[in-house]
Amino acid sequence: MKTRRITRRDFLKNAASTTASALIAPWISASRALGGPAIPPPSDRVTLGHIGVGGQGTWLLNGFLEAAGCQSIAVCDPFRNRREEAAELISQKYASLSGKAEYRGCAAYEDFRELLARSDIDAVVIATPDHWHVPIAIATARAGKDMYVEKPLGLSINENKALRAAVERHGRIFQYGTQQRCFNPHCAFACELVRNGYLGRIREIQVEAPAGTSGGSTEPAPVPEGFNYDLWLGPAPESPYTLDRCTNLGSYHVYDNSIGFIAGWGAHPLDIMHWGFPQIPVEYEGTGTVPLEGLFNTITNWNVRGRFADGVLFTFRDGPDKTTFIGEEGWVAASRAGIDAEPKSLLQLVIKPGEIRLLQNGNHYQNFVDCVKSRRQPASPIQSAVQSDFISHLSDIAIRTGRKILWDPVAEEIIGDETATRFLSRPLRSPWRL
Amino acid sequence: LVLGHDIRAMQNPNWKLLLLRGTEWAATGRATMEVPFDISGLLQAAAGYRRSESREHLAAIEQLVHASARNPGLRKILAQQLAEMLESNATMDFKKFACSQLSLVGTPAEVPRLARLLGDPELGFAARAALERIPGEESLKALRGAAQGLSGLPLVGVINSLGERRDARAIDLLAGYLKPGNDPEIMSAAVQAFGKIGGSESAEVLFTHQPGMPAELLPLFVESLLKCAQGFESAGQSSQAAAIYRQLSASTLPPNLRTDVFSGTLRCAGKRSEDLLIEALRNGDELLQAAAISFLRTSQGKKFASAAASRVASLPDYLIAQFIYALADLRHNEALPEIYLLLLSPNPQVRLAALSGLELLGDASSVERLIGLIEGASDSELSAIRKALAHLPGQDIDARLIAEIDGKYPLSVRREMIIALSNRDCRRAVPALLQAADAEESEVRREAIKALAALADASIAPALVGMMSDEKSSAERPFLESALISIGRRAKTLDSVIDVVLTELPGSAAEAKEPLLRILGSFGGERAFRAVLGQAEDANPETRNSAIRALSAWPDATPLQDLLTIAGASSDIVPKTLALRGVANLVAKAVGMPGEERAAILDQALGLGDSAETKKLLLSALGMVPSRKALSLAVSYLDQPEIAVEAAIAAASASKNLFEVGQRSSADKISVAVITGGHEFEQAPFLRLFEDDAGIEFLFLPQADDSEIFEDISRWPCDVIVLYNMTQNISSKRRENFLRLLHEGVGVLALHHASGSFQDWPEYQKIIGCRYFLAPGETEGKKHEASSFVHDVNIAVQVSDSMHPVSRGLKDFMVHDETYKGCLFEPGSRILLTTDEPTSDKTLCLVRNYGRANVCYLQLGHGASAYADPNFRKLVSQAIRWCAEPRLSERKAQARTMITEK
Repeated sequence: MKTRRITRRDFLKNAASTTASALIAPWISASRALGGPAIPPPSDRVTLGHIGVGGQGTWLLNGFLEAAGCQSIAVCDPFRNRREEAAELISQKYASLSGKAEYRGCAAYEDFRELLARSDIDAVVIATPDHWHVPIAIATARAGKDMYVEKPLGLSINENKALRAAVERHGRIFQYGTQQRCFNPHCAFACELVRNGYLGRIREIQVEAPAGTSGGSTEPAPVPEGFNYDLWLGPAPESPYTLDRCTNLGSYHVYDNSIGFIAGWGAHPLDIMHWGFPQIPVEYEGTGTVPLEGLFNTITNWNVRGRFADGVLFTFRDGPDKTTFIGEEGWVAASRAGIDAEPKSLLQLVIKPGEIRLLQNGNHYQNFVDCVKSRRQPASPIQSAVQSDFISHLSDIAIRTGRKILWDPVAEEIIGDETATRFLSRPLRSPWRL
Repeated sequence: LVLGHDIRAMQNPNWKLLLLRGTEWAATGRATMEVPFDISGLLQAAAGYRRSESREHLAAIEQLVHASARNPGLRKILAQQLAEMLESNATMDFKKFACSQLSLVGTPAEVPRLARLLGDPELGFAARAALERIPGEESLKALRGAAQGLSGLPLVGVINSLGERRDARAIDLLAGYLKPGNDPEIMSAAVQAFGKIGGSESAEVLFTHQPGMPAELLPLFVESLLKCAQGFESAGQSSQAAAIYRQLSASTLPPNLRTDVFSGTLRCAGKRSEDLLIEALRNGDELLQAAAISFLRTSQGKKFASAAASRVASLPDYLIAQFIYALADLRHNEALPEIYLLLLSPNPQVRLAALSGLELLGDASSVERLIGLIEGASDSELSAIRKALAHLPGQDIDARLIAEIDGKYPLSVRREMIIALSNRDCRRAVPALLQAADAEESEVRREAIKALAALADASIAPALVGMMSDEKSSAERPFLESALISIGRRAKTLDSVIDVVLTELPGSAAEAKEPLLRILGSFGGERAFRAVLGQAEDANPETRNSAIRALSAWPDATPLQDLLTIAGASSDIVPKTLALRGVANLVAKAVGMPGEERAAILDQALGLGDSAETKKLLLSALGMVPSRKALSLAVSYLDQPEIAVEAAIAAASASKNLFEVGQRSSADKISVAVITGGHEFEQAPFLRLFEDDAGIEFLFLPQADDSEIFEDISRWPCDVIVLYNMTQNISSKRRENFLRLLHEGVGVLALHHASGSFQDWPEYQKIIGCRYFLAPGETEGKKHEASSFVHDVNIAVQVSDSMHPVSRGLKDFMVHDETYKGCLFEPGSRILLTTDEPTSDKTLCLVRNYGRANVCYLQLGHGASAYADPNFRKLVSQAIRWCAEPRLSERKAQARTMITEK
């Protein structure tokens, strides 16, 4: 797939004036942005660009290729082989759908700024390493595009706030990659039980997520041919390339790029918690383990205790993926794998007309595409994404500082701890900024 | 104090603190002491840190940093000494770490040292990151001061930091970077910094420089002004925000930014908002219309929903759809009349939006309209109608639907009404549904029975059972059966339904008995079991077979022995096969039965099975049993070609189950993990090598080329690993686990093609002492060709060392096997067997040590001829015993300790 390399300088020069004709034209000119509003008419297809097409990104790409009413027309990854394979996957899919021998309508970019500069792309799917999620998502909002963003959200609490402000400022549709909100209807049901009061007053919420891992080679290695390592690092501190740094495990477990599974996996059960009980704890206290050897240096095991403003207890520890709501009249536990409750009769309940219903769609990708057209809030919007990710960060901060962290959920600030407050931001390597 | 096992724990400052305060408290009843931290000693110890090394010292410093948050004295000393390290001979890696810690504890006193590093190519970012986080004017002053001496990326970074810190005092400095002709990268950083700083002064500077602003910076320029305006809006200063939006409106903007500016204008227009909104909907272009609709979703905009609703007809269809969704999400019930009109739109997307709107806004008046749309609706419309009927709130809607079930409506409509009642969990509809279950139309009967399954209690069981015998409902029997099962499972006890079924069963015709037997089979219990077992002896073959099927699907293993008896006594192939399949099914449910007992039952069943298909099912069940007998039994079927594949899967599955529970049957036997995968081999004779050896017990663990067996070694049960794989993938974690086993004394016997495994893992050849090269390449600076092999060679084997336990008792021998040549042999091995065969490497067998492990590599062993060779068998047997020695010795020592303690 032929692409044009542009520098950041070129990008700045062209960002406002780029037109579809200057770049590769899509198969179907779906977006009305070519001559009219940025929002596509419902009868048209939503055009998608995919930023980050490694393991999870390709998984998402396959999902969107099966969704109705959208078309993937561009991919982007600093790994050449990944972007070329993803473009080939798209080409094969559309060739097969159109009954032709080949299809040439998907561009492959190394640099996300080139993809975002295309005015014929309505929405992007962001599945990069964690440290890139928010900077790219903010650039996406600024470019007037909607976005599906993989979890976890940002590398700091301030990143999350900046993204929320950008999404709201530009009126964009944001879907968080917490897929259980659509793909696992039993999670919606568990939260509906809580929200509709079937458990009585909630006393405690217990959250468990799989532990992280240690290890990873620290030996510097040559950067593979066809890989733009500097772009992969982007806003993260400069570090020597090692074999395990840019793998899935590496990008999940190196503190420069992530805060580890406390957010990476924690995002799922914490999201369920926030869905069923839309508040976040105001106190956090806990312990955890950070490996002292090897490349990986995020928290691997953790045990956090906390409290919500109304006194509801909160625990968050490593374990199987699960969120348990304990009320005065019963409990319900949900995970992506299943649901359980006591009394068992809770599981037989049917949500009545007029009660709160949470399930929007059985397909998270389709839900996003539909919402891009309807401009409704999708299943996992930015507001809850930010809050559930806050919990991971505050837990991480409590463990790292070894102190109780008090959180003001209105001002969204840590109370009375100047040192811990410094954890709320992460400076970005130049020239990157939020 | 339970903690404090070793020096590592004792060096922990928290441990020291506990020790000191504990001692003080014990002596005086007070705890006031501070830890005499040796900060400089700790920093010196860490000063040589490099990324590849342990972070133990760094972790200790981090603990001090966090402890210092509540200890100003400690914090002062710590910050000062960390800053001093920045000018020491410490490594770059340590200095970066010191900056990261200063970002947490740094004070104005450390700012000058950090500021001096801002231009440093290696430490500049770390220093800036620290300064960005240190609050107070000093750090800002340092950043502003440094900016004047920097250029390029370091300057961009400093501007970014000033922006992040919202440094209003930097406005004049930053304005200087907006002069025409400046580096666009620096200009763009400054433009964005103004957006973050915000306020009227920032906005003014930006507007002042607008004329000279390069076109390519326009999006960032507008973005920054939008942020300034947003800041005013948050502070309740709408008029100042409105002024920014007004000024921006006069510019030519990209479409998305034009929308953003218009949205802001609407938010801040006060009383004029409604006029602007209506004007946009009436005369605006689609861009402004879309923005106007989005505005309705905001707290300021929702009050104009009614006024806007009257303008909806003039919008393009896709915007009408967006408009309806907005009204629905706002729960704007007043829009119901407009939505009813839009239900008739020729545009399907609009109709669909209107239907979705009814789901949230509709009331009793909506039922008639929804019902009227059912006929002729598309699939997506029908789905929306169904959701709306299910979710409309109100008891009156239930009553309306109940009243109309058997009314005037066409079949498809009545069917949807029944579905709606079920979806609405409308229990009071049961009597009406029971009537509908007896309706003339089959579609209505079927839907009503399905609804009863969801809504009714056991009181209607007699009626449903009665329908089973009714010829009119014969086509509905499967639905009646499901309904009775659902109702029974929901009831407090199953007896209420079982009683009804048992009463009906004796007098039922054979075709009605079948579903009744299945119902009993799905419920289980003693009374049901006796009744179904009785029917298994019925003279009618259909009834008999139905009963055996019901027993086979029993919820627990109660009928297991009876099914075995039936299979043994049946001369007829059908009941026999059904019963044996039942055995296969129920063995998995016999959770309380010991594995050996379950394996024995399957052994009998396999002996009774006539067909390969039945045996395959039984072998599949055998694989689920975590038992040594199951494994042996599976291996014994490996040489029956028609079921060999299933037997191998069963052997592997049984082994995996045993492995996962970490169980060994005997402490006296050597436990062996036989790992295969990545290379074909003759399974039956190979596994017999281990099966026939009375001194060992083995697990057959084929790998899917990912070394998954090493993922979790927490319950590792084996003394020896026999590698007969040629798989390649092994993750870092699995490598570590493999090595950990060796360090714990688990031995390794690598056979034949195992030297070709893990080509990308250099350490592997150091473990087994040999590497077969699958491709040419370079190892440790030396180029090599691919190794070669020759099949079917009569190899003259020389026993070069008969003193070793592995080769003891052997004399030179001939063997028919495959040879390898061109392999790499690691130094440090003891060579036991050699050959002069020209197609082979000289070495055929070596032993060595790795960690605490005894390791043997035996190059022989390609196929059945080698497996059958008595010398080869003796070598394998002796090698396993020698490899197991460290673990056996350890077990013996443990046994002695236990005896002593006893």
